[in-house]
Parts: sequence; C-alpha cells; structure tokens
Amino acid sequence: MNCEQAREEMPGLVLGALDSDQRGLVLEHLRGCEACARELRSLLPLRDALNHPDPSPRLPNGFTERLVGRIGPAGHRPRRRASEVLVHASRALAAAAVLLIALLGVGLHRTSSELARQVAYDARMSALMSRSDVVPVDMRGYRRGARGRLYVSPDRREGVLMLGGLPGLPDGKTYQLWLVSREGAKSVGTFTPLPGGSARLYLRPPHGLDAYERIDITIEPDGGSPRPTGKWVLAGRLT
Amino acid sequence: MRSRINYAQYGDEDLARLLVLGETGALEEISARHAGASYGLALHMLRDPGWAEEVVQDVLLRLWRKPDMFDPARGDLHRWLLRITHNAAIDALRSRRGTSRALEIGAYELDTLPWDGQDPFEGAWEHSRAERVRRALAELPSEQREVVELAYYRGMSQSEIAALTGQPLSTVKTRTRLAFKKLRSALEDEL
Ligand SMILES: [Zn+2]
Repeated sequence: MNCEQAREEMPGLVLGALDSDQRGLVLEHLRGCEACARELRSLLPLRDALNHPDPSPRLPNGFTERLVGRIGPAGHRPRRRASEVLVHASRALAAAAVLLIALLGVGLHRTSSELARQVAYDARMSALMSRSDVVPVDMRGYRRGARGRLYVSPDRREGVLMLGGLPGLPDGKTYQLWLVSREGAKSVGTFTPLPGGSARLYLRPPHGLDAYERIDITIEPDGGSPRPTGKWVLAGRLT
Repeated sequence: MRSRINYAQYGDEDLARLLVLGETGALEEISARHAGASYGLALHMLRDPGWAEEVVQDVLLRLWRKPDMFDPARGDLHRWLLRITHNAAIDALRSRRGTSRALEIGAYELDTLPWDGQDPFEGAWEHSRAERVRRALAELPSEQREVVELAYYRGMSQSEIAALTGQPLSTVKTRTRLAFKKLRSALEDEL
C-alpha cells in the first residue's frame, strides 16, 4: 500500500470501520511512514470531537452511588432499578397471523446471509430507536434483576425489545416470547440471551402490535411450548 | 462517619494515582467530573439508559481495577475515558448483534501507534470544537452523515454499510471521505 492509498483509507480507519484485512494493510503502512502517521494523528481530535454527540449530557441520579456499590471485596453487582409498567388506554384487538421476528444476540456462529439479515434488522432497529417519537413500554420483571423495555413505533406496527439481567438457564430450558391477545398467547419464538444476560429482539407482527394486549416472556422446556407453561420472567402491557 | 478528603482539590492525574491506592473517593470524583460525557456518548450509541449506565460503569470499574491502563503521557483522562467508552459501547453493540469476534474492527489499534504527546487542542476549546463538529455532522448530506453514524456510532464496517445501503463499497468510502473533509474543516475552523 502506498501513501495515497493509505490516506484514502484513513477516514475509515479513524471511524473504526475498515474491514480487518484492509486495516492491517493501512496499519502496516503507518508503522513505516511517519508522514502518514502524522496525518492520522491530525485526525484524532476529530474522533475526540465525535465522542461528544450530546451537547449537555447528564448522569442519571444515583449513578456514582451505584458505581461505588459495585466495588468491594465480594465484587457484588448492584441491584437494578425496578421496572415500571406503563398503562395506556385499551385498544381494539385484531386477528393474529404469522409473526416476523429477528432474534438477535443469539448464538455466535452465523452464515454471511444471516449476518446480512441481522445487519439489516439492526439498521431498522437503529432507525426506529433514533426517532424521538418512539414510545417506550417498560416491562415488569418477575425475576430479580430481569428488565425489559419495548420501544414501539408511532404507527405501532413494529417494536424493539431490549432485555437485560436474564439469568442463564439450566440445560433443557429456554426463554420464550409471547404476544397475548384475547384469543390467547401466540408464541413468537424462543431465544438464548448473551452471556451477560442481554438480548434484543425486533418485532413486526403482520397486524401490528395493537393486535395484542400484552407481551410476556416465560421459561419453557427446550424447543418451546405451544402455550405458556413456565414461570413468568417479564411482562408488559401493550394496550 | 469518617472524615472525608476533599478530592475536588486534585487534578485528574493525581486522582488516577490515588486509584492505585484504592481510594474510592478518587473514583467518585472522577465519576462526577467525567462520567457524564461518557454516559452521553454511550446513550447516543446504545439508546438505552440502563445499558448505557452499565457500559460506563464497567469502564470506570476497569479503570478502578487496573489504574495503569490510563497513561497521562498519552493524553488527558477525559478524552481517554471517552475513547474507552466508545470501544466498550461498540463491543456491546456488536455482541448484542451476535457478530463474531472475527469481524471485529478495533479502533483500539489507533492508540498503539506512536504518540508524540502533543495535542494542539486543549480542554477549554473541546466543547466549542465538539459543537462545531456536531453542527457540521448535522449539515452533511444525509448519505454522508449516514456512513459516519453507522460506522462510528453503530459499529458497522464499511462493507456492512455497503451491504445495508445497497451501495458499492467504493461509494461508501467516497462518502466517508467527503464527510471527513467537511468535518475536519469544521474542526479546524478555530476562529
Ligand atoms: Zn505514507
């Protein structure tokens, strides 16, 4: 790689967006070329400026207390804040059909087409989450530490479910997500959270989220159940 | 109640040294001074207050456990914490996407390059500079802003962005370069 090529890749390098083989070539060039290394250093203040996307950031109340609470010989994790449930006026129900869902934060080995699909879902999620008029619905946790929040699009056709604090399950058990209407609970799918206990799910039921009254997560035998049998972990009202 | 040392009297470098002694008051002071900006960055990237808090707390706890991570000779604590927070948030986004480690594109290696210790911009200007870059970013044509945001705040590689937007990789790279040119001139427009 020559200087001109290295300079062309530098914005991507500063953004951390080069693919790994390309990055390796640029870094190799930079190690041997002081002029290009200087050029790169001149771009670092730009990266620092990008690290201030919010003009007036504020820490949540109690942040430092919770931080200090995590220090200690026993290395205790802090208790998470209890989730709240938002209740809205009741809405009419519609018939349910097949659900489209992307389960993210699941598994580690994926084919490239799966990855591409994930990336596409992630972009739809990002688009949804960056809207200021998205409606958050907090879920009630029935397990200590479990938390969940559903972000619903203004047209209520899609949503992103963010989950955290889900304990690892013993062999033979899995988490299962349900959308519940007057006609009963419809299984959306089973999922395994990441090792840290988090998962993110994109939901786009054919008739929108208003077709359902509630969203539930239960623990079920591996492979899932036709209807909920296990303990509730989280639940939230959609109406 | 034991009496408290007033940690506000210390500069960042001294606070970092006090961490080595295990003084939690020093960590509290660092948190009070700098964690707000880190939280703002993490929240912008993760869009979930609980998740953002967890990531920033993890960063501060890493510093608490290994204070040597921070080397004052390589820049100030505020910017260092923001860089580490950015890396941690990118890791969080990628692991939640289920992206395997092999696809990781570290911004880490930038920091291992030779650093001459000089920074033409000092803390007092940081905010106005950040403000100018924010404005310049907002004023970019949307397709240029998109490549910067997807890469830097969403942790996507240029080829992932190409796949997502249906554009050739070369177009993604060109848009990134054009965006950078404008952001850079906003940054350097000091007066
Ligand atoms: Zn060169």
